[in-house]
Order: sequence, then structure tokens, then C-alpha cells
Amino acid sequence: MTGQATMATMVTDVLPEIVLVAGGVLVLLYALLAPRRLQGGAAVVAMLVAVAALTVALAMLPGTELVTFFGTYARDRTALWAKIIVLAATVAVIGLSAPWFRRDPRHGEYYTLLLFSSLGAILLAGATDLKELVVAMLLSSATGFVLSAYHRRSSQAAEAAIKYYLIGALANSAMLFGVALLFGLAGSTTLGGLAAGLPSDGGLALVIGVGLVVVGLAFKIGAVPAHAWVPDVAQGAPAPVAAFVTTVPKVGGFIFLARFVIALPPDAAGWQPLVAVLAAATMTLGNLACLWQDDLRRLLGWSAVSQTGYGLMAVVALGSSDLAVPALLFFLLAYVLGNLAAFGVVVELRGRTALADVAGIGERRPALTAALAISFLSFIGVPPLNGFVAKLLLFLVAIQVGYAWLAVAAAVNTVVSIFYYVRVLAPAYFGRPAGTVAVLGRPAASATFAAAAAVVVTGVAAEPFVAAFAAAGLVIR
Amino acid sequence: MSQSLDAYLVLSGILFAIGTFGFLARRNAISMLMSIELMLNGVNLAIVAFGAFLPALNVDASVIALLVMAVAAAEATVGLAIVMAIYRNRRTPLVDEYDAMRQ
Amino acid sequence: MVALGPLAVSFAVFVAGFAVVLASWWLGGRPRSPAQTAPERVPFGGGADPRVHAWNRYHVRYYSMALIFLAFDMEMVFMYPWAVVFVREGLIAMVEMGMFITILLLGVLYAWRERALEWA
Repeated sequence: MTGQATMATMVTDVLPEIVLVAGGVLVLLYALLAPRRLQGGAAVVAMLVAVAALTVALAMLPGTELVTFFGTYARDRTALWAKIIVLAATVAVIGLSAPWFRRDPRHGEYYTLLLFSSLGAILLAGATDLKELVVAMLLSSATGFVLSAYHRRSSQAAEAAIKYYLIGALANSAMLFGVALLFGLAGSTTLGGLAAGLPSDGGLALVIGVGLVVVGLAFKIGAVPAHAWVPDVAQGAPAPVAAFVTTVPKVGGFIFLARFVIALPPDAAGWQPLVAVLAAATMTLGNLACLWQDDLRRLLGWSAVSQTGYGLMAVVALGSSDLAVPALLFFLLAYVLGNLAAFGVVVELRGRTALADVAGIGERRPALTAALAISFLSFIGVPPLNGFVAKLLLFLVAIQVGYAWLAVAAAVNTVVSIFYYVRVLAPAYFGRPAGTVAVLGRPAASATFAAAAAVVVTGVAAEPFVAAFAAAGLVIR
Repeated sequence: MSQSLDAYLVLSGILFAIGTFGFLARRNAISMLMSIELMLNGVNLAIVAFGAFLPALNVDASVIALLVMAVAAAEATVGLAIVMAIYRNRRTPLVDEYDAMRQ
Repeated sequence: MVALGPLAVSFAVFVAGFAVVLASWWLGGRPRSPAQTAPERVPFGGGADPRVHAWNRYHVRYYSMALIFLAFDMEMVFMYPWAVVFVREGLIAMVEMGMFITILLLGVLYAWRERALEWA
């Protein structure tokens, strides 16, 4: 095969990514040239780009699963499903952002950042090389920091951004040190090379290397020990950005974590108990912090932390259970949709976030309150919503691989979580409305209702999704 | 090149540890950014040492080192921009005064 | 003269320059009348009226320049590995770097449009 032919086939393997890059640049060009009153048009361009990339990713699903670009990038169905979830979430977030930023005179480039950030998450989901990991982490984090600080004059947004940034920079540096150690130990940076080259008795260096890379990924997915940014960003960042940053990068982070742990030599560095302990700590901490939260956005942030803890149960089971990958993918689907619906309600309520503001909205805005209720019930795991199926699968895989204690911890946490979700929903339905409830507008409402409807649909008709996810392979070489 | 690989790795570990300490001990956001740079220099030293002592890793190590440099610069740029943004709001670079949002 | 060649020449240039300065100082006349009109007293600005006082303090804002420099300068490190493989890869390498530079260039244009390149 000639060099050109190989190049051509490799390029078709990353078509969604190319669409995103070109589209992001296109949006930037639009923002450069469009006058101020037409800046909002960038949302339309970005929406078209995201939908195009989504279509390409869907069309690629039946293809063969392989590792392309000299062992550095996976083109398997897990990565493709991750792309589909990320891009669908991006479309929803663009819908939420358009009315939110309507009065911002210069915000065309916001959508460029949004598209590049979802590209970072997608690259993370497909990466099978530590170099790729480094670049994807940077792309997804750096855009996230800027997006969080997008309201430049808002003191809260700046504070959220600097906390996000400082934790991210520390975790990223730690991860880079881990990458350096693993590179020296294995003599390679591809995950295939790590699987072949890492000594199973690598000693302290291997443990530290693996631990530091896991810390970096824990930042990305918002797990202990690098979880502290989640509530701050959820509260301080612009609400559509909060919806984006608490969902999209997590998809990429989880999939890379999954690839990373199956590349490690079996029982090397004791990664399984490590991830299990992180999972238990994350869900418990997130839940406890939620209990007395008086700010809806901050509550959503902490609840996102606890949801991450549940998702880590699937990572624990990877390599030992066939159900682990479908459980992880279905969890990500349920989590992203539920969180988008919940944050969509906050956006649609014009960012009103104190618990007192929510009182009585059930009377004034029944559909919106129903969306909030659906997402919360899905977080709890009430059938027939998709959160129920996700939790069922997660408990199943945890018990399958002998981590029954983790499943018990998750069950206890779930029971505890009912308290704080009801603490929001009860006043929303039975409280007295304080006045009129102003809402933002049609694009935001449509995105919110679409996400809430998807929570119901993927819960009621879960079988085809689980079956499709069960056919998804997780290749590393 | 008379020393062993271990000596370089120890030095890089020390650099990384100094950076971590500086990050955790300093209150000034700019100092914290500088500490991050120090940590990344430690990382780069380890990578370059691997490349220099293990001939098979030579090319790979150079590429990763360049990547780390680019990552460091990009991160510092975004960090400085955010520090500027918050300084304009709060008139202080001390991070423990950024406490408007609480548990 | 031969041994001191370069030194003597540079000394001669120095003396000549000094002589020119002295001559112009001596030949250039003193101001005839000490009373200048108001337009004559303002600092010389190429014919334009000065907008602020000559001793006005202003903020240079190096940091915004520093940020832009940092953002666009470090990308050039990728030129080094590229230069190594350029001869072997030929046109493909050229096209790849062209795309990279184009995207960077759009970033510069964006910074320009945002008036980040204007001092103060």
C-alpha cells in the first residue's frame, strides 16, 4: 500500500473530528466577519456543524473496529457512541446557549470554544496513546476554563474559572508526571505498548505512575480527589456552560479511563481496589455535600460528583465482566441526558438558582417542573426512567466482579440521595409561588424538553440501546 | 553524561516536589502558576533523561518533551488570562480571598 | 597607521560625528524672540496636536502583549520536528503545516479584530 492510500483511509477514520475542526474554524470566521447584531447567527452555524458531525459518527457505526494512525487512535463502537453522546449533548447546549447569550454583543467565538471543547472530549474517548491523552486533556480543559469565565464582568464566573483552572492545572501536571513515568517503564506511549511493555512487578514507580494518571482523569470526570471544581463551576459559570462542562468532558474522561485500565497488566498496581475506593469516596462525598444545599446549581454540581461515583463502578468491572462496557455507556447516556435536562431547567428559569426561587414553579410552569422532576427521578433511579436501567447495570457488574460492598455503598447512597432531590421537588410542587416565573425562550425550552423526553424514551425502550452498547468493543491495539 | 539515569530522575522528582509544595503553600495566583511551570519542568527533565539514556526512546522522548512544552505554554496563557479577569473583579491576586461561593 | 587601522578609523568617525554635532549647535541660531506662540510651545508631533500632556503617565499593558506572544510563540516548537521530516514527507508535510498555520493565522486575525493588538 502506498503512503497516500494509507493516509486517505486514515483520514476517513477521523471524519467527525475533521468536521468539528473545520466547523469550529468556520464559526470563528463567521464571528470575525459578522457585525454585532448578527453574532447570534454563529449558534446556527455551530448547530449545523455539530449535527453534521453527529450524522457522520452515526454513519460510521457499522464499520470495522480498529486502531488507526499508527496505534494512537481507536475507531471502535465505544468511541463512536461516545462521540454520538458528546455531539448530541453539544447540540442541546448550543440550544441552551443561544437565548442565554442573546444580549452579549460579541459572543460568536463562544461557539468555536464549545465545538473545540467537544472535540477535546471526543479525542479523549478515542485516544489510545498517552501523547494523544495529553493533547486531548489540554484541548478539553483549556476551552473549559475559558468557557467558565465567559461572563468576564461576573465575579462569580471568574472565581469558578480560577478554581477550575488551578485544580485542573495541578491535576494535569500530576498526570504528565505519571505519563513520563509510564513512558520510561514501558518504553512506549501507546496503550498497546503499555499492555505489552509494562512490567507487572513495576514496583513503586508503576504504582505512582498509574495513580497520577488516574488523578488527572479524576479531574476530568469530577471524581475524588480532584472533584472540588464541580460545584463551583456548576454554581458560578454561565448556566449553559455549567451544563456542558459537567457532562461532555466526563464522557471522554470515562472512556479513556476504561481504555487505560484494561491496558494495565492484570493486578498491576492494584488499580481495581484503587478505583473502587475512589468510587465509594466520590459517591459518598457528593451525596453528603448535597444534603443541606440551598442553591439549586450547586446541588446539581455535587449531585454530578456523586453520579460520577456510581459510574466508576463500571470501570472497576472492566476486563472482568462483559457487561462493564455497556453499563458504562448506558450510565454515560443516562447521566448526560439527565444533567442536561436539569441544567436546562435552570437556564430556562434565567439562571434563578436559590431554592426559594423554585418554590411553586409547578403551578406556573408545569412542563418545566416536570422536566426537573424527570431528571431528578432519573438520578435517583426510579423506573422506567433511564437512570433506573443505568443503576441496575452498574449494580449488576459490581456484584459480578465481587465488589458487592461497593454495590451496597451505592444502594445506601441512593437512598440518602432521595432526601435532597425531594427537598427541591416538594417545594416546587407544593410551595407557594413568589411571583411570576420569567423564562428564557423557545430554543432553551426545546433543548430542555428534548433532553427530558430522551430520559424517558431511553428508559422505557432501553433494550435496543443496551444491545447496541453490548456490541461495542473497546480496542486498544 | 557521566551520571546515571537515576540521578536525573531523582532531580526531576525533586523539581516536581518543589513545584507541588509551592503550589500548595503559596496564596498568590501568579506564584501558583510559576509552581505549575516548575512541576512541568520536572516532568520534562524526566522525559528527556529517558530519551538520552535509552536510545530506543530517543525520538519518542523528544516529541513528548515538545508536547509538554506546548501544553505548559498553553496552560499558562489561559491561566494568566483568567487571573487577569479575576484581578479586574476583585483587585487581589490572593486565592484564599476568592471565597464568594461556599459549600 | 597600519597597525592601528580599524581603531584609527573608528576614532576618526567618532571625531567627525562629534564635529558635526558641535558645528550644528554653533551654526544653528538661537531663538530670536523668547516669546513663542502657543502652537510653537506644544511638543512636536509631526504636525498633529498632542492629545495629552507630554508628561502624562500611561499604562503600557505589557501583559496583554505577553499573553498573545505566549499563545502564538510556543506553537512554533512544532516546527522543529516538522523540519526534521520535511524532506522525507515532502508535499504532505507542507500541506499539514499549512493547515496548522492557517488556523493559527485565524487566531491572530481574531486577536486583531478584538483590538488586542492595540496599545493602551
